[in-house]
Amino acid sequence: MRRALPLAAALLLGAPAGAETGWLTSRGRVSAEPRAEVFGGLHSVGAGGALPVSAGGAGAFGLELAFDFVNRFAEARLTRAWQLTAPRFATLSATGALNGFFVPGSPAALGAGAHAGLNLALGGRAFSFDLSVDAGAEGFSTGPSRVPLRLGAGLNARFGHFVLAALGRAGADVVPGHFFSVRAEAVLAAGWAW
Amino acid sequence: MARPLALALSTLALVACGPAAPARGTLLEDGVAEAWFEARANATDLVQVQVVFPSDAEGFPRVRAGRGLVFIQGGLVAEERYVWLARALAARGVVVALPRHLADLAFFSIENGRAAGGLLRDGPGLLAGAVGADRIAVAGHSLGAVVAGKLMLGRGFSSVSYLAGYPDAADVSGLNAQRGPALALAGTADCTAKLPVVLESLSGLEPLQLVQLEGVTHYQFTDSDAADVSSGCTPGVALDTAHARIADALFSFLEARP
Repeated sequence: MRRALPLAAALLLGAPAGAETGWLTSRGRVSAEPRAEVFGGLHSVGAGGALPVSAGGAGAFGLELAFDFVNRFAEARLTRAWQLTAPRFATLSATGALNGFFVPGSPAALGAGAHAGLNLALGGRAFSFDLSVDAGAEGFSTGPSRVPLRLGAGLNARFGHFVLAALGRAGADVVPGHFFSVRAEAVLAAGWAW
Repeated sequence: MARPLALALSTLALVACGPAAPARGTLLEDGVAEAWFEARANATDLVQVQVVFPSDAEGFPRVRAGRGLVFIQGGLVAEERYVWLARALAARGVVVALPRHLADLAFFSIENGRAAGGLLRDGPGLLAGAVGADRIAVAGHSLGAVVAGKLMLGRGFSSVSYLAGYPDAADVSGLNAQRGPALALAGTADCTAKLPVVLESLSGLEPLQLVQLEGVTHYQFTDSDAADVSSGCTPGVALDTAHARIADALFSFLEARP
């Protein structure tokens, strides 16, 4: 146990991130209002927005741009969220996402992927604890492909128009024909909902 | 307006910055230098790789199309604790790459070893032409030996060496089918990977060149045997002697390959 905690911390803090669906829409309660957020963690920073598809808040589109400053690559995430259950204490949503990568180098690489996820919010509009599961597939122009699998957890708070969240994900990228790589990331997000 | 523009430009400059490849190395001793590189693994991950190589007095490689070795650290043992071995091999002409792994556990980022192999093969910066593309071997110590076996199985390496360790039992049939040259170094005084267990685990592997190192303990494959001594595992030989035997056996195996 004495070694397990530092090891778990080292894995979570040191694991590379990326290969993930959007942060804004991976929450059980889909925002019924337009929303913009900035987020940042130990590996990446980014910004994005989400727009409800209808006034009823049955779903939303999201777009995020993120830059991983440790591994030096850029990622764009286009997401669609569907509210599966009416807002109550336990609220469920589903997400689908397309993401694209630019990885500098010689040669530089372009990547693209698709993700699907389920998100559960426990709590209300002002404060909730969120759980999520996400799986995807990604490929790169330089050859590699990978299957990202993630479990996520987060705390979301809303004070009037101001939104604040602490979000984390951990999992692995399965590399077909090879092995896997452990991945994790935690971010703090702040934003505004109109 | 100026501030967002500056931020955008600086971000663009960072994005445009690919993996680092130094133009010359830092001398560690006469004829041996080191340099740190970055390599891409798993498409997006930047892996830090320490390369120890035979060098001229200016810090440039003094070999062309030479032998390369990717060395995988043991579990929770920092990769710099194997620099002694890298230096000993580099002094004899081998270019050695030591990739870093998450939390010093190569098992969690196996692709890093493959990225280090690609680095030697592609030869960015000062490594250009130093290593022959088909002369890159892989070796690992302890848990790193398991990872070395998996990397060998994934192809791209000309031989594999297991130091105080053995491959995953699930990989043995695949390795046997591959028929790649393999070496195992086993210390007879190893209290962690005990000799009977190592021999049993290696018994199904073919081909295999097995070298038993008399009196050598588990951590004598690293830069210090203090962990053995403090746990009551007494080495049968001095650390310098163990190092000389380990380096001789590994180099002899590598040298015998084309």
